[in-house]
Amino acid sequence: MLEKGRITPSQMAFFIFGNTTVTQTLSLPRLTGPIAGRDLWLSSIWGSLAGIIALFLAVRLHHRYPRKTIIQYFPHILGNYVGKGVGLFYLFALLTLMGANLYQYTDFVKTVFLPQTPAVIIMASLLLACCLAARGGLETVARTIQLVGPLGAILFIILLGLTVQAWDVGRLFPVLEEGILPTIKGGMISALWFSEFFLISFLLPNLVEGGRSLRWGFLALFATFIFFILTDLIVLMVFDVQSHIYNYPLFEALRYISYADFFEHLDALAMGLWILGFFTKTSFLFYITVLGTAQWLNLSSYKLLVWPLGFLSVILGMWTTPTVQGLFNFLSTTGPWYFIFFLVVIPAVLLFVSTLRKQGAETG
Amino acid sequence: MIQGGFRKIFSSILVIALLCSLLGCWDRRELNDIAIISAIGIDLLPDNRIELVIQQIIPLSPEDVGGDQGSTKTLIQSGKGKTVADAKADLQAKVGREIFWGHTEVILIGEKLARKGIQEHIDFLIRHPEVRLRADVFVSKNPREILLANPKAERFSVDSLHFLTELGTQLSIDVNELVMMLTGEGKATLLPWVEVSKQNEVPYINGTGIFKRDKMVQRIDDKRTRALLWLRDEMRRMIITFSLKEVKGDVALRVITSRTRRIPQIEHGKWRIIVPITMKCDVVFNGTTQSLKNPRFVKMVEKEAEREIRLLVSDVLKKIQRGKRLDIFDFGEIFHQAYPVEWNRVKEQWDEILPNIEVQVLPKVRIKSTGMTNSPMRVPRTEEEGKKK
Repeated sequence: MLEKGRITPSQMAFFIFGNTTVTQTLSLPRLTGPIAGRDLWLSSIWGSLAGIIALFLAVRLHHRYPRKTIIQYFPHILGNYVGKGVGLFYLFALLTLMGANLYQYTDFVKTVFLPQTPAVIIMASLLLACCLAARGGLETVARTIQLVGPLGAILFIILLGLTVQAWDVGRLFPVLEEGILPTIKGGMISALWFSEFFLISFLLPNLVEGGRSLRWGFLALFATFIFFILTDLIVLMVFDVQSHIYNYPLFEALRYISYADFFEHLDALAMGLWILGFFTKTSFLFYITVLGTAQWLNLSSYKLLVWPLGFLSVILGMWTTPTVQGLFNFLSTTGPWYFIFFLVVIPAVLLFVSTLRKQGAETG
Repeated sequence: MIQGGFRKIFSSILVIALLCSLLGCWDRRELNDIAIISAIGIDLLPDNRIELVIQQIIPLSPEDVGGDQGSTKTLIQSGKGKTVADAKADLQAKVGREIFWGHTEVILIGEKLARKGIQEHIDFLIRHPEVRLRADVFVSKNPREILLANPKAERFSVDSLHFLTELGTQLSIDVNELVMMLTGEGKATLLPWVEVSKQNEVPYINGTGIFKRDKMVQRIDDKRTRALLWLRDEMRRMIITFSLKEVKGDVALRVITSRTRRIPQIEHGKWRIIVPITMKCDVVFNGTTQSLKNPRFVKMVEKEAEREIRLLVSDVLKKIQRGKRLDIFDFGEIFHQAYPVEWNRVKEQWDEILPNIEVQVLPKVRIKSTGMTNSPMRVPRTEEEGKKK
């Protein structure tokens, strides 16, 4: 096996929780707002269905191929040539996910704090840290995330709580004014984030024995779900239905905090937390991209891929989308279909084919 | 091993590179390089161009301040241009130092601009990453005059405005609330009106500017603003003075807490809003000869206060809701929240429906404390008057 490291299910839960919430808290209300309006928080309920399916698929496929990641069982299920071909596309999808993520990070930092700094510097400095983490292997990445994750999450929740002064619960009403359809449409975008739960399939083979992976997976899913609803509600209660006129509504809500004229201007803290979060997300995505590529190439070590793929990621970060408007447009139109295809539809097909061919270790 | 040596060199280079980025990369800004702005004013010039006035804080060392009290602490500069952004560019060229907007606490909009429409100019404020949504927005006849005012007690002229909004006796609107009002269902916007008092050059809030959508149409005075605050549940602190009907003399109450609920009802096609206002008050002045030990007198004062508030609120409702057909009390949003279906049916004709909405104001005053005394002092009047003669 390529990866010798072992992680605990709780570390896995942190991985996937960080991965979904970081970008969601930053921009999901901005994306679902124009579609679902005042009911944007309801769309997360629909979106979470995709998370449940993705998690279920990841765990079922893991039971069939316990020591393999999705890149490795592609050839098993679909035959060598087709499997390798689909695997290549899959890696490409991971790279675009990475690119979109990096672009979003860069745009956020650049717009809010460092307008003059070249994008490539902002992007490369983050990726440098991620490369070093990935070179250290899975356990290094997991430990780093375990270190910064809980601290960041607790501080972030405190910040969310501090927005209470600007809440107006009345702004949540009327619920379902436009009917249920807009919330389902918004749910599609929300599903994009939830479908990333399938990415735990890259971690499952390296869990310590006897870990309750499914339970921790669902715990992470539940925490993510609560986080989604909470941030959506806060944005609505602070900014009303027009919240999506801001590119980063939750960030605006956090910098809106002001107590007693001196406990204010918290944007630097919020920014720091998001950068920590982006480090978590990017190092996770980068690690699985590197691992997947090494497995696809049947290499004996993935370490030598770290720097070339890091370089490629920066380039993709610049190339995935020309502008932030383009990115948001992609994420609210074709993006959900694109990622849900790779993270839910393909795994579902795999499970279906695998069941038909009665392959793998059937554990029920 | 060569590997080890390489690693050492590599990591030292890395550490140095990361240290460099701590300085802020291309965006490093020293305090000496920026012009910190405490307030801005936007107004329309006679030739239809936009004027942007800024109040720049001049950092003084403690020695400077200690000696000369009359020293200028702020600098007023202005730029002109086609738009706010254009005027900002013009201004930037004059200021020299890079303008830093992060500490802007007050945004003043000139009356001329307000009457023409403010929507497009607000865009600049919410688009700029440094301007905070917490900044208070005001409207005034001449923003430059407000910024130039030199109150003796405060550091900057706008500080007194900030304190006034904190007090809770006046309307206080920040950029976020302004955006919500501009985009909301009510189609009416409110901004506190600022003037400079002639006697001591202190800017103060005197009434409210009322906007139809984004154009200012009217100004209401201080007293009516209070009624507005009651109707919008923004009343926090205030003193009401009134005379009693049955007894000679005035009584003044201080509002400790005030809570307004607005309950919308639609019955048989009749739209109605019930506005219960519950208040806890202290007596701060008793100009009558009656004792507040007497529960019947307390009850009477409470009743009289309720009547006073009802009259004040109804007067404002009559003028604004019926007269001007402006929904400055958020009635549209209240109906929208409670009766979305009915609201959507009449949304387009809201202007016609608004004046016909019946508003029942039900104030409830509870006197909680009578201050440090209970009975008024008994001055033996007749005797004293006799002595004088």
